[in-house]
Amino acid sequence: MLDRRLVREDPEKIRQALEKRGYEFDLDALIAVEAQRRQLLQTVESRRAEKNELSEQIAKAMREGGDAATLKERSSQIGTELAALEQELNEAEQCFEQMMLDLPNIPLDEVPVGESEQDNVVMYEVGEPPKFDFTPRPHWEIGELLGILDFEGAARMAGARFVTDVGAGATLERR
Amino acid sequence: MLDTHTRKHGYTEVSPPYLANERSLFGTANLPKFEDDLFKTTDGYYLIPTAEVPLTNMHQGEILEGEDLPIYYTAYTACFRREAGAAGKETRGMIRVHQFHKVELMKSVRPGQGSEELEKLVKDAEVIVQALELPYRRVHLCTGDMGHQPQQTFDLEGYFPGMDRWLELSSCSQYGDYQARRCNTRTVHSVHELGFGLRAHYGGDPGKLPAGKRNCGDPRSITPLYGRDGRDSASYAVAGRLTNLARRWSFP
Repeated sequence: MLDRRLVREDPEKIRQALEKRGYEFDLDALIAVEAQRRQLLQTVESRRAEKNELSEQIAKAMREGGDAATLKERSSQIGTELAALEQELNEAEQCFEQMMLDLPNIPLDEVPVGESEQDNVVMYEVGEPPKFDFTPRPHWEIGELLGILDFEGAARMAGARFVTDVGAGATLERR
Repeated sequence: MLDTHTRKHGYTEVSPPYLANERSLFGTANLPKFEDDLFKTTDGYYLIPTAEVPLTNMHQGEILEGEDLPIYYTAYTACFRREAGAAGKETRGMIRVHQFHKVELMKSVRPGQGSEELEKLVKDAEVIVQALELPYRRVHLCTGDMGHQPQQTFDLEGYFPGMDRWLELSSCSQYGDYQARRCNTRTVHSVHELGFGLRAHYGGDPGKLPAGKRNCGDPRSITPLYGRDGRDSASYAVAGRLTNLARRWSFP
């Protein structure tokens, strides 16, 4: 997950990363959710402060034998508003978190930009691929001929896309 | 090969659970996006698709002291993948199977040390491929071919004669603080509260060196070996060679 501060401090950096990756993501929606979340947070905090202030006033009024009814009514009104706002804030927070989880990492500057494995850059090669004057067999044929890879048995005991290594095959597996 | 990493390259060997909980898979970003790739048990556990999951979560929710870093872990584990998106692809052989073994290398390092440590990690992986006497090449993955989580990935690819293709043997990536943040692993002394630096891994293994890169299958270093010396139908000659190799392989 990326640093959430990046969303409001440098969203262009995220936009460029998404473009480079060719990754579809609604960044503007994320920015909007983040703005909404911060807005809600501020409102919630100011309402809380207001409510605390009222509580003090109510306590004071009651101590001094004054009429606290109006204050109490106002306080309970704010309480109801606050509950709704907190709920909204919680939803915005979860929505933001969910979207952040979907956001991929930012590639370093030195990473070659490209669309598919065709655009990967070979840096160096070590050794030479072998050349044969015949068509080399694929590994599954050789493994079966040697009796060290058993695909049929694995298919019977488990299913497709399994292999049982036997003898030297099993030794190779754990080396 | 594991011994090479523990004795020569300074990694601590770990033998983790093969089942992981939801929290851990969120930490490595396998969830929520890639749930289809995972086997889930009736108890709500997931079979690990790679040892990256338990190793990355070793310090989940912890605050590490600056002097704890760098941490080097390695694990040889079974890996389980549904390969749900692979219908019809690589249906033969052991390139893309539901269960395989591999060695994972994982480092947690201080911020700023990522690229340098990744370079060392690539070399650690190359030592193994070289010991297997396999021709290989190092590839810098482009932005469109990279996984969701890394900032940068280098693959070591081997040539598979029987398939006439270069396929990934090992995948080495750098994650910055992306997974650390998801795992809520923090350091005390870093500039940012969550600046965990690097998380690199290399999927490669003993007999097989497959790779930890999602959706890319798991070519194993052993498979090109099978074809390397392939005497066509006279491939029985390979039998002896393979068996001998299995017995006498020694790694630096």
